Amino acid sequence: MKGAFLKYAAMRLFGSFAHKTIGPFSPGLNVVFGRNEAGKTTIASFICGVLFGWEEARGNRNTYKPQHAERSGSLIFATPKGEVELSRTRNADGLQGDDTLVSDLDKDTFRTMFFLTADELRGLRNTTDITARLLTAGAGTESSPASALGKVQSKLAYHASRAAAAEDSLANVYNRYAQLRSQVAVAAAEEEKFCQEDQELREFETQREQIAAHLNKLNKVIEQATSVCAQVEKIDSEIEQLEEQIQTLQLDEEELNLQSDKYCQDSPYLSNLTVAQEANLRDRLDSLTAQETKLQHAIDLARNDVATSTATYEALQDMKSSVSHRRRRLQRSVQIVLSAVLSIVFLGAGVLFFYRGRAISSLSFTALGLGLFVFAFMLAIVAMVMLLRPDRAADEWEQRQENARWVMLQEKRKLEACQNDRETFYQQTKEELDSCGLKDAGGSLRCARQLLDEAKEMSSDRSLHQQRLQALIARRTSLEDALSRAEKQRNTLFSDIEQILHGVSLEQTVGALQELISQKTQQRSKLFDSLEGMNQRFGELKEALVQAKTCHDFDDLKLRCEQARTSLTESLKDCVRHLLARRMLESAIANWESESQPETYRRAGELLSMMTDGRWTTVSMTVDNYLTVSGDDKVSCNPVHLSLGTCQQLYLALRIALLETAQGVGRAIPILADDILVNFDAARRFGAAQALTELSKSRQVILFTCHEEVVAALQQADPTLNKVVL
Amino acid sequence: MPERLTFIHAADLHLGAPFRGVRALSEEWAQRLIKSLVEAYDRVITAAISHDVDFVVLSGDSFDLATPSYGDYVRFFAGLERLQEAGIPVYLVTGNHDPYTLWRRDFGKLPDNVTMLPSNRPGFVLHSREGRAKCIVAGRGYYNQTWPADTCIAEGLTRTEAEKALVDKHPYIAETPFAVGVLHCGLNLDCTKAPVSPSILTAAGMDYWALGHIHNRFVYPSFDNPRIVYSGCIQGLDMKETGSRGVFCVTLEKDAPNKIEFIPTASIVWQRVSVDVSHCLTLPAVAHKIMQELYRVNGVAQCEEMIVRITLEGTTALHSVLKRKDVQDDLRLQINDSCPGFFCDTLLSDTIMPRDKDTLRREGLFPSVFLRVADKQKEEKEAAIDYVQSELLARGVQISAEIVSDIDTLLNQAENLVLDLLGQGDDQ
Repeated sequence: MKGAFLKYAAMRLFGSFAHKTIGPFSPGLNVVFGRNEAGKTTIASFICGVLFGWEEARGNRNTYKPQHAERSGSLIFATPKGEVELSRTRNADGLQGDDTLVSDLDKDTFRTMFFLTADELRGLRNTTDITARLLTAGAGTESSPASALGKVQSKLAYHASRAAAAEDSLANVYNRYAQLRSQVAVAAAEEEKFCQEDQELREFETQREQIAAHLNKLNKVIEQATSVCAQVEKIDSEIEQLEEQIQTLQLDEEELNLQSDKYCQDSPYLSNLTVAQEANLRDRLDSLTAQETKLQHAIDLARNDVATSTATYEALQDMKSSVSHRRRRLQRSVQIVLSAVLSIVFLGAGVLFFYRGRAISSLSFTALGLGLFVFAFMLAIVAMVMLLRPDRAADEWEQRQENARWVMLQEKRKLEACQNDRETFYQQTKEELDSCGLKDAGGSLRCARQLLDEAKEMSSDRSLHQQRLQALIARRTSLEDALSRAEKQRNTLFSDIEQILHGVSLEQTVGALQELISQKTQQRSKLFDSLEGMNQRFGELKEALVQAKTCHDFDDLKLRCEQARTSLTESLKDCVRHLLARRMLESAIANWESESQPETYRRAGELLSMMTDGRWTTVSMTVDNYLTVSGDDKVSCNPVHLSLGTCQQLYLALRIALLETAQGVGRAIPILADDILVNFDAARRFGAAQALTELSKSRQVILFTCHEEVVAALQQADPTLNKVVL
Repeated sequence: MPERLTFIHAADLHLGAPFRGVRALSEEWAQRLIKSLVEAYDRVITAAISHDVDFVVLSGDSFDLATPSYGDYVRFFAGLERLQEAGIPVYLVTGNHDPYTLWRRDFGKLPDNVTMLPSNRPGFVLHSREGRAKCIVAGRGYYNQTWPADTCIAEGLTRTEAEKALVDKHPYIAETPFAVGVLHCGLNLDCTKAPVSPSILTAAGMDYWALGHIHNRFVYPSFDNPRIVYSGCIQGLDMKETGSRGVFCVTLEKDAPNKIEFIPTASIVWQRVSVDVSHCLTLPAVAHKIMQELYRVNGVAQCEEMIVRITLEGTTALHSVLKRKDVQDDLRLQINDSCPGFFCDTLLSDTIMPRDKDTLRREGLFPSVFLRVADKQKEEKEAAIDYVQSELLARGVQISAEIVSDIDTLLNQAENLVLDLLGQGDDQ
């Protein structure tokens, strides 16, 4: 019936046992009988420990670990090929020996199904899981499908976990991605803000220029208004002064006008003489005076001439008998005598020499005599001439006397003529002066001049007056012009201001200007504040943008977010992969179970009926996956409503049925039952012993008990059982 | 000398993209990866300047839907300004990731050299150089994230329409030697994002269509005379975007075939490597095999730095060992230590335990029942999805599309998982 089975359990060191071998066991039903503390549970734990690893020596649990030593032991299996020893010392070294004997069983299945205790028989915990575990154990795989499903479930649970340790779980990765995504959204908004700030910065530049221009304009307005205000103040002051001056001048002018009337009343002709007329008149007077002087001078000259000529004449009369005149006559006589004497001398000499020369035939005496002759002749001629020539001095004297008399007469005539001329001149002058309005002069040129001088003085005075008047008028006019100019300038200044204010009309007063300056100064101050705020913001923006330009935090965040997204995708895929794997596995396990489960429940019913002597005959699973039992009365009952003993019998029956059905699971591994029949009454104990005997036909069963009646019941059910006494 | 036009065709910059699929990066490699996108963008700009191109075309998705960092944002505009300083115009369209609605606030920042083609109508612009009309650029972008299914994005984008639209301003527009179309569309490769038939584009009279959206390089009809081209993204954005990435330097010449030159721009390439370890008997042999495979893959990557995801495959007795996380981590560490240019972010083991399923089925034991059940469940995918969905909902998690699409694989993996568990000792 069987292949391999456990023959011995050799405990080298386990709990309080050392080098103790239990056995031999038979392939069928075995009962290990021993008193309390004989080591029944220890042996069962030893077999489990060798097969699937020692329990970790932690806490206060009894893990059978000797002090300062490793647990160690072997299980000797009898196989068709001989005995096989499986041994274990350290868990890390694993199971030593041919482990194919246990390859068709996992630890959980062993502990649930192969290692039965009274406590285990109180339930199956998760029936489906255990059924699956059992039914799929030994399914021809390294791991049982249930184990694989457990791992898949575990992985899915991992993906659902939010624990920090489950770093790559779908839930955590999703959270991480969501966090990063929201951070990216915030950072994107920040970057967007930077872009907007960049735009803002550009707009700021324009606005700053505009404000600067506006400020300049305001400065200009204020400057100009201040200047205009000062100028207007000055002009107003000037206007006031000018008006006062003009008023004063007007008064002066009126006074002068009154005076000018007086000038007009005196000597209207002379006073009305123009400068040219006066000059002409003066020229005329001068001319007349010159003429008078000339006439007087002529008279004086004539008179002098008369006196002179008279004196000359008289003098000549007196000089007629004077010595000089006589000497001059004597001198003439001498000259004539001398000439006649000399001529005779020379004539005589000449004749003498001529004749001598002729006589001696001397040419030179001849020539000399001829020459003397000629000379005497010539001298005679001269004497003749001199004799014949009138007496020029006497003539001249006479003439001079005559002339002097004539001159004297002429001069007298001339004097008379001059005196007549002067009289005529006087007459004419008087007439002329009278005609010139200088009647008062009585023909006197001097008086006329005096009159003229007086008139001139008056005229000068009047002219001066006129000049003063004119000067006043001119001054007044000038002041009026200045006033007009000042008013014009004032108007111009205000119109300039209005022009700067773009045609805004302004009351033309200093107060209005000051108001304007104050208003504009306030505006400027506000603009300055605004500009300052803007500059501050501009600086902040500039600094922030310069930093933002080189900052890669956003890109870094995006990259991290994308990495998280990739992790999410991978985790999601892994989760989906495991979901699909779970779905496949569950379906496969369900299919695998569906082929064996009905048989299991039928067999469980048979065994339960055997154990309960027919009280409970049927074990079934509801559609809701609840285990129910029923008897011949067909009344279904939930296991929780059964008594402890019946409940244990039910689960024992179910396990035996499962173990019988799952022939491929743990074929070499014994079923270890640790005093499971103690709660059963004698009849049911026998029934259970029968059921175990049934199981021992297909599997090795080793039952540990300290109760003789249990041994007896088992022996009754299977007389061939192998009893091992501790 | 015939008329000639060169330009850079770039697309799908996806600045600010979050690098999906990364798993376990080291701090150093995280920093490298973060910088890789803007570095790639800088390489595009540098390539444009060094090649002295006529202009640059950005065919949509310059930014990713995920908010770019302010640094990326500033860097993008700085790049455009660099091109402006170099006198290189930029023509860009919006994509489904950076539609017009998201660009509104940035219009003021676009330098003068950048022209954004409209999203609500076909847009045309004439590119001139040194006073000479050189190219008509026509294009249209996304207004919002979705392109209406009943409208063709290329409608009205023809050379004829472009000439009509531009003739008033440019009377000699018809003499313009070249015309380039710019679109962000799915062509016939992605039917969900503005699909367009290639025949519509080829009939539009354009010399070249610079397209964006598909992240891989794609050329139609051939590399000999490319007419419709996807340049792909400039840097692989996730584990699926393996291999070299970059832009095309396009040369159009009158009466000559179009030429495109690929310019790699990626700082880091992604690679997914499957290593068959069936013949490896020991872990060192597995590590050696992996390194061999990595060097082989890196040889064609056109990039020094590589992030790699390794999947071990094959039937091996080392299956249970390779499944262990500590073993996988150790192998990963060995790989990452062996070459500073490689980084393995994930090492997966898809190896299979040597087992004969047919024999198991014949034995009639539990495995046969299990395999029968597993086969049945693998056939009933809908039921499996329903089950997974209800189980996940019970856990407060929603089923993802990836799970649904991978249900076959997951069912197979679940089957192998159970068989593995059944084959393990209980102590494992």
